[in-house]
Amino acid sequence: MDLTISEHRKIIKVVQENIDIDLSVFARATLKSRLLHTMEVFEYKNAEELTDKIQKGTILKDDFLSIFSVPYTEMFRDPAMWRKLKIELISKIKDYKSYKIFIPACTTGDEYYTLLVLLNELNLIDNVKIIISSWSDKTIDLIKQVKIPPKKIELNKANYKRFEGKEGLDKYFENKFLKSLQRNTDFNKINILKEKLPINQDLVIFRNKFIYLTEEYQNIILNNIYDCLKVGGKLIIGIKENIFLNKSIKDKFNEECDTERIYKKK
Amino acid sequence: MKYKAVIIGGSAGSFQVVTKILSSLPKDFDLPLFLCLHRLKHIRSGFVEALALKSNLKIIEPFDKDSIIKGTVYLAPANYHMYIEYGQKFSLSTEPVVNHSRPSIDLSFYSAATSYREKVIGIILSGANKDGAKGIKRIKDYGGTVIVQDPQDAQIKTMPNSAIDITTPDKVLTTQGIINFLNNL
Repeated sequence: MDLTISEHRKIIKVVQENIDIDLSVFARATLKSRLLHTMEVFEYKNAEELTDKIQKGTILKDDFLSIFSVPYTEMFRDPAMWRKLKIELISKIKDYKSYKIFIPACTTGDEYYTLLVLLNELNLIDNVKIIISSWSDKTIDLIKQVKIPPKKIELNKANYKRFEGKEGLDKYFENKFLKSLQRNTDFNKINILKEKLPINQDLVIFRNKFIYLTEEYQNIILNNIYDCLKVGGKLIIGIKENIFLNKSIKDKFNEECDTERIYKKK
Repeated sequence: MKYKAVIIGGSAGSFQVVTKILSSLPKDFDLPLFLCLHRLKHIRSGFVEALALKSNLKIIEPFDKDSIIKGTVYLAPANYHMYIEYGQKFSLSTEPVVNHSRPSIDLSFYSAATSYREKVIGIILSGANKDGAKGIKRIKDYGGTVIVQDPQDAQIKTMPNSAIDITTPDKVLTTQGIINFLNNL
């Protein structure tokens, strides 16, 4: 199945008008791929059936968001980055009463759970204040419940091994242990394109989310993230993300670690 | 020239074929060449360097939204899907694996078919699964030129045979035949 340009345009219009989601912010190839995935999950045969169901109110906003959103791949993706962050946290957090970490626009809990494991191993869980945001209540509930698909657990364990973790991951998946580590976390429903982000953050983890946006919206969100970081605060993006095509934005950050894509607000 | 891009997909047994192709293309090869090769997801470095050893062309792993420049070879990065967008740019994605693969050859081929229509050459090489077969069919359906490595020439035949099963290639060629074809564009 494929979508024509006119079908794309129609879906964007219908989704915006009926369930108030602006799909025009997404890079075209991603948008097509996610729409095709959404149609497949709902078992719709074509674009017309999708727009028809949306117009008739058969698909609710949260249902659409939870299926359309790209699920994050795994815990400890890019172990080298997490090793780097571990060093950063050891050197920084011990001097803080509440080091502020913000993970915006979560679609799954993988990055958040990774952070919790890391902080727990460093015995620093009570030195941080974490904010998790998503654009969907349904996603927030799933993240809180810590439901990890069994097929992901083996992958997570393999990544953790490459991260050179010291305790093993098993205990985190048992007896709701990960849930117990959520005590210093606030969960907020935030549309990062439209709503104000929490300010004075020491660290923003926004990995592999810029890739789904057009360059225009990458710049808008990057500016929003810049505003929510404190001076000297760090931003971590995905290994292959390239968000500094706009020189005025690039000038606002210093490169902390290029290979792991860690940047520091000037 | 009729074409604007070449895209090659391969898996097990394709590395040597790709290095032979890259070492045989001239410095002034006038098209962008996209490589979507199955690779270990956690090994981020070394692959470009290995391919570059004998290549006359510059090889890079693109970053998201990088511009596409002719005469450059682009290798799909580990653990990302690589899409070719309208406007001669890349989009990367961490969407779930397709055919057990990320990068998935099917996804790269779909996007190349959409962006370049009849002006792309799609080539499927040796490999042990069916990834790429649906993608090469899409390229064919959209008017592009489809080449499949001769299964008799391929170290592992599954991928070329899957492509031949699903569509009618314009050419079925040996490694040397693919090299000759690309050098005579």
